[in-house]
Amino acid sequence: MSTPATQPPLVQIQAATPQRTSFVRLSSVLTGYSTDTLAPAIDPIDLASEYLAAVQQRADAATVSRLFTVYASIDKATGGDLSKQAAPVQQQILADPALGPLARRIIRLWYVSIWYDAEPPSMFEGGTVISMNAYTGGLVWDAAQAHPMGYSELAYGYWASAPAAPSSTPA
Amino acid sequence: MDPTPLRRLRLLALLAAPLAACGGGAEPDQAAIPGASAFAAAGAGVPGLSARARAAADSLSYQVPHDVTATSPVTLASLQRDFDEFSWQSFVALNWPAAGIGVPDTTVVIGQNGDAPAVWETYKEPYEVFLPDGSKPPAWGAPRDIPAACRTIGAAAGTPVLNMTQKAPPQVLNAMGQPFRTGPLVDQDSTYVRFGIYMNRDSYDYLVNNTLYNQPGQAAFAGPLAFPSGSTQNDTVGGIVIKSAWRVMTARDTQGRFHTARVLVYTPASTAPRVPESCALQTVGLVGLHVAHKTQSSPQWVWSTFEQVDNVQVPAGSGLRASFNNPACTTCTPNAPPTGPWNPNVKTPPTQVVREIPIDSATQALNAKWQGRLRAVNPASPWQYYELVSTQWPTNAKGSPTGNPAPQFLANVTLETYVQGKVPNVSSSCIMCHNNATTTASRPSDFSYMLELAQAVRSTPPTGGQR
Repeated sequence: MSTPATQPPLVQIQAATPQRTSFVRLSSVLTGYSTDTLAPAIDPIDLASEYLAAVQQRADAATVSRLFTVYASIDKATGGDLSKQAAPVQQQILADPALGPLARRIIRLWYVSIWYDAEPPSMFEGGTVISMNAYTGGLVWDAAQAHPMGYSELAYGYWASAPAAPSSTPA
Repeated sequence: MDPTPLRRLRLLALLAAPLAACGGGAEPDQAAIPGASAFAAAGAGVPGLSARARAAADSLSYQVPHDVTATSPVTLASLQRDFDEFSWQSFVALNWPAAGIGVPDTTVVIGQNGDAPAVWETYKEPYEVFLPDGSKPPAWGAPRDIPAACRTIGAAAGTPVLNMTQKAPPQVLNAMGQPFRTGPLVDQDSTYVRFGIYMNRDSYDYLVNNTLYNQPGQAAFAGPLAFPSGSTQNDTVGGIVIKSAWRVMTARDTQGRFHTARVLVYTPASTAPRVPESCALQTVGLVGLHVAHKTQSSPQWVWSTFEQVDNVQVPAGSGLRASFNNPACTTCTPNAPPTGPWNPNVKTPPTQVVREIPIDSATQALNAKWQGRLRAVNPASPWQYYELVSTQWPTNAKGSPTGNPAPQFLANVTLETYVQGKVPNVSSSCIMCHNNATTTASRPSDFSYMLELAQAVRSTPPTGGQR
């Protein structure tokens, strides 16, 4: 045979860890996109895991830990109803001096796929694009009904027709 | 409201429908397909089979599956397995010995008598449909024409023809080259690999019935262009397009490990570089096979790709040699196309081919299962020496034109040698690439590049190059 017997799977299998689930739920509140859009059940790309790993590797561990703890309490207090979480997330996370900047970095990750060390980013900080898939998968493209330079999934000649309704409407 | 969950539910419902229709209890290795049960009875009646061979034959069918059958619970991994099963079912059915044009021989089992011309080899080739003068193609089943240069060597009409690589106009992705005109593939005998494209009856009928075989017809077509979809509920096969890669067999090859064919290896004349027209009757071995199948659940088509198992690596100490890799060469640059000018009539340094994305373990296990079945029918069957690389399919068919394909990248080392890798929009992805296909009228052509081969209507065909 042409390949060894043990190889990593070509198709990624998402590990639905409690922390990933919590990260996706918090991200849904922060971005306005549904959890199903951010982390589809059938998804060969799995940006959620990439972004979670980026947060864990690049942000202060204690702050990340506290973010998940605070969000867990919000999730529990609202009975897991995401539609009721915007206000408590605003008050307990975004308004918090330490958690707020981290949460805003997560928003930037989902929308523009870039991690900035400073929050808000300094004028001269270029930031780090998380990956090639992140670059093409940023929510900014969906929100703007556009596509990144050099990459489009639309069929040839799409520009001659009126744009379709947005594929994902923020919750 | 976010429509995405609804889209996904619709996809899952669509995929699950065949399962429900077939009772829902099928084991993954017994996925129900139309005709499978009928074949079991036929298999039992095939003479000359041992009990073990008959048992294996009962899981092999000459019926091409019309759509994938999903097994529950549905996950990314389970769906990949289901699509891989679909690929193997298709491979077996399409490689079944042919009894006529597009018709399987139901009196035998695949490989039972060794090698034989396969059903798909009787399908129409694009050069038979997109004629140089834009005229209506011959009827399905009409014998193939052969180039004049091949008639001079005494070849009979209807003999299969393999075109050369790269140079024949029009300069599009077609039977004569690899994607993006990245270069020809040269085997370890320093000989160019040849390619062939074939379309099934549903594809042919769609093109002919809609006058899509010439440029005026494409310009007049109101569209949108949509090949028929395979459907279990409607009992339709749907459009199937096959791309094959072949290398010329030599005395150094173990030919029993290849599906072989006697074909006309034809090289049309070229002026830049200057290459004379030539034609030779040769024995070629199948080294790569793409199967693209449009189905109801996969409007972006299902893309299955198979290879002969000795393409890049052989078991140590087997005495075999890889077709496209020399392990002793330490100075060879991997996956580098030959330097030009390209002339298939001249011996050329071999391409040192490596596989950049390994075949995943689940697919390897599935390969072993199907290879075992084929071996059980006949220990000398050449079909046991083929392996599925993977199957690409849309995970969210209605979510976007490309449907978020899985796996994200897929390449056959004989057909996308130089575009392997994991760079979006650069590395090989069947769906992402074919999403860019258009007609000669610059309209989307439903994932088929074949329509770019259509010519203007002329009273006198152009001379040279294309037949």
